Amino acid sequence: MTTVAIPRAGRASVALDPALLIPLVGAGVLVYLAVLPLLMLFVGSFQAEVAPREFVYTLKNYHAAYASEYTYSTFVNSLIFATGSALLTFIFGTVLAWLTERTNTPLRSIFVPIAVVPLILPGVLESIAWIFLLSPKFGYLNVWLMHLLGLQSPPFNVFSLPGMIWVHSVGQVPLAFLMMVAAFKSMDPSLEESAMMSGANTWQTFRRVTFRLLIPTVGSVLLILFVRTLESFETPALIGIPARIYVYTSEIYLAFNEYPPDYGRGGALSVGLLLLSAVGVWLYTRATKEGKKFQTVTGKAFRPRQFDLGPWRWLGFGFLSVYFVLVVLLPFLVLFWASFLPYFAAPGWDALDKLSLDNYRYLGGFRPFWDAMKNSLILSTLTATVAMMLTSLVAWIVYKSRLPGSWVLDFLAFVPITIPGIVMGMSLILLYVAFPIPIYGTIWVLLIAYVTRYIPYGMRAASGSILQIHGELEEAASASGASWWQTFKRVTLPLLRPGLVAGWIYICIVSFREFSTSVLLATGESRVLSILLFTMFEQGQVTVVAAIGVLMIATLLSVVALFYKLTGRIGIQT
Amino acid sequence: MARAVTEARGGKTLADVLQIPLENVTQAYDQGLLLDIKLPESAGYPEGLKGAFWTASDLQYFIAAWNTNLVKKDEEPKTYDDFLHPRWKGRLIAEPRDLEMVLAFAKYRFKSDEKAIDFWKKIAAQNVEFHKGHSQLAELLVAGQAAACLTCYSHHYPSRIRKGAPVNYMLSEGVASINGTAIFKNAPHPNTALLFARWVSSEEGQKVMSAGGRTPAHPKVEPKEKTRTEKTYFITVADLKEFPKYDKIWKEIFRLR
Repeated sequence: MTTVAIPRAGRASVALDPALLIPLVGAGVLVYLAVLPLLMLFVGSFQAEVAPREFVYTLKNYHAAYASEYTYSTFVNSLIFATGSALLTFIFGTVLAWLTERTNTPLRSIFVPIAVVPLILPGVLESIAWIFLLSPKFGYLNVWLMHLLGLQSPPFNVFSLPGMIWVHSVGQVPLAFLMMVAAFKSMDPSLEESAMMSGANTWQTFRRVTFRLLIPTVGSVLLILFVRTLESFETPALIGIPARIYVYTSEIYLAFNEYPPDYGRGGALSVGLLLLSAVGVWLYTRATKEGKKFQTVTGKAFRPRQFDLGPWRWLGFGFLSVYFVLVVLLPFLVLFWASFLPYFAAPGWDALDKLSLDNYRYLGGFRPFWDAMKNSLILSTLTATVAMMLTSLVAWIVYKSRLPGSWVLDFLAFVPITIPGIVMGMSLILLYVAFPIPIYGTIWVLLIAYVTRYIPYGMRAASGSILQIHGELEEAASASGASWWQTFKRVTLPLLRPGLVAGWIYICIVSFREFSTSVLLATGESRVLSILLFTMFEQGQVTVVAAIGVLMIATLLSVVALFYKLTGRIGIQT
Repeated sequence: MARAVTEARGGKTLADVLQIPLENVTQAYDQGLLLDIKLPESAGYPEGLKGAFWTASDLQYFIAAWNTNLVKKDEEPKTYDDFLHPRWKGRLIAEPRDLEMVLAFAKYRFKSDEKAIDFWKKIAAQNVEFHKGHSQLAELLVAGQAAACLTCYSHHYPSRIRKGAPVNYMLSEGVASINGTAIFKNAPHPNTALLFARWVSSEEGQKVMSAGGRTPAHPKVEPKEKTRTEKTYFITVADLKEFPKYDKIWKEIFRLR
């Protein structure tokens, strides 16, 4: 185990380098972005009415939120929902990443872009697609299986806790997939080779070496999936409410929808979410404290090796194909089919004469659609770029600089994930509506909102990779006379690239479809696609919305493909 | 609404005119955000469709609708009473936030809280399934998730039927709620605001509203689509104060949260 290095003393030169200002400014921006909405949430949960003229302290919000007959069941449901989804998503994502990245499974490279598709679908559309597949009353898949197998009752019921876990998980798999691809990519194969040479078989090597090297990434992926599920809203609303399974976010949503809206109780519930997430972050920090253990990227040239699966590679191929058909193709086909129809109708011969291009033709001549598309494209690419720049600096401070108290930054970078989008939106209105620089009502306030919301994802992507980079590379650079900035730009950043690219793609996609904050902050001129989509959905133009979904997938896949081209060696194809 | 209040508290009014459900208009008024003004155009509206600081812009009707593939011609509902029949058990959907139904039934259909509660309790015994969002309800009804929807919006149906969707809807009775127009006290463009509010409330503006597929509030302007019910239980301004009470009743009846 030559690369598991003996810890060395910290880099004495660090503290003296004036270029350190750059990451420190990054840290300052992060603190500003993360702390203000958090403060507003906190203060709001203790006040008697929303945004009052004067502050009246009260505990009634907490009483209402946590002393009700539902407190316990909500807690248990949330925990099951989040744990189940995190595990299922993680398993899918990891197996997909390993098969496509590190094995000789046939045709694996074409599955890579496909695996990202479920991420692009807005949550509303995805939930609807699954309802149309798995509803016990009319779900296409249920009807078809009953017919095929001669069953008396439908095999699946989407309106259940397992249904919620399934629908949410399949939407999240791309996130786990992208993060695991980055980890597999930047792994030194010499350790695996040593294991193989010592007589270990493929499975033993995977279990005893590959898997253990991945522990920090596994930890951060599981954590992010867990918290992301706690905070998610679409599935609990569209599937949980009919099933009468309530979790924290549906409770928050219901609090906002009461007469009058109970923002205080919503805030108090959010603080609970925050605490639950804080426990997760604490556990994760403890588990990865001894970062040195996981440093696998050293000065030696390497290229991750491929496992020869032998005849098993066809099993791998089988898994990829079944996953592709079941998770990606089916829901997409439901929407694709619907986008040519005047209303949702089951696929079949009798619906054929209703097919037309009307929905697309309508969108083509619909000015607001093009404006929103433009806004969304600008915002998502900018958000991804700014967020990744910021978080790679902050991740460097946290994991490499050894500045005292830098773990606080790590926690702060995680905090925005626990603030529900609607709370974030409200606090940003208060902050910027009377701000001296008139950014309110423009897309710039949306940029601030998106960057804040997606810092946690960027941070996980950046820190997972930075942990794996051995200090000796940067030491070598600074020993050769490079300044901090030169080292960072020429050594650290390129080594981080696989992780950063994965983070960029993820943030670009999720900010393209961001809804819950935009709904409060987007105005006429700064309207984004997700808002237009929702408005049209509410007006009942559901099949036009399906057409927008199809166009979104096409647009985002082109953006991602273009980004691959621009960033050169992208770390996806070996 | 949350946005308007938050913006105002943040120290700025950005909008000129507010046009949203009346309960939110009155909330904004209670927060001191709206102008006390009676538009000259409001003279054309009956009492109940105008107030000291607002004029009705349009109406939305809560009605029952059904899937024509799942409901036989002779079993189509004529009034809400028909839904008490055992054949509807397990075949009904509704929206979880539509407390207006029990309120309007209590005040205007039965003129008794007890009778209304009793009626909706019997409906609850039919195992109603609740889905979020009226648009979602209409889609699910078309797809066949349920045979009938109890709290759908009437304006969701004419266009679907025209396109051939297997649905129909009941106009014999329904509950109407009001969307209102009001002007912000600190409107950045007060004159434009007034002009717009007057135009939208005029017959001409209401005709445009109708052409856009909404149900105009002006008694002289006919809606383009068949969206008005024959017997209508209007939610009045006075009723808005009782929303919390009926919200609680509605949730208790259906064991909602």
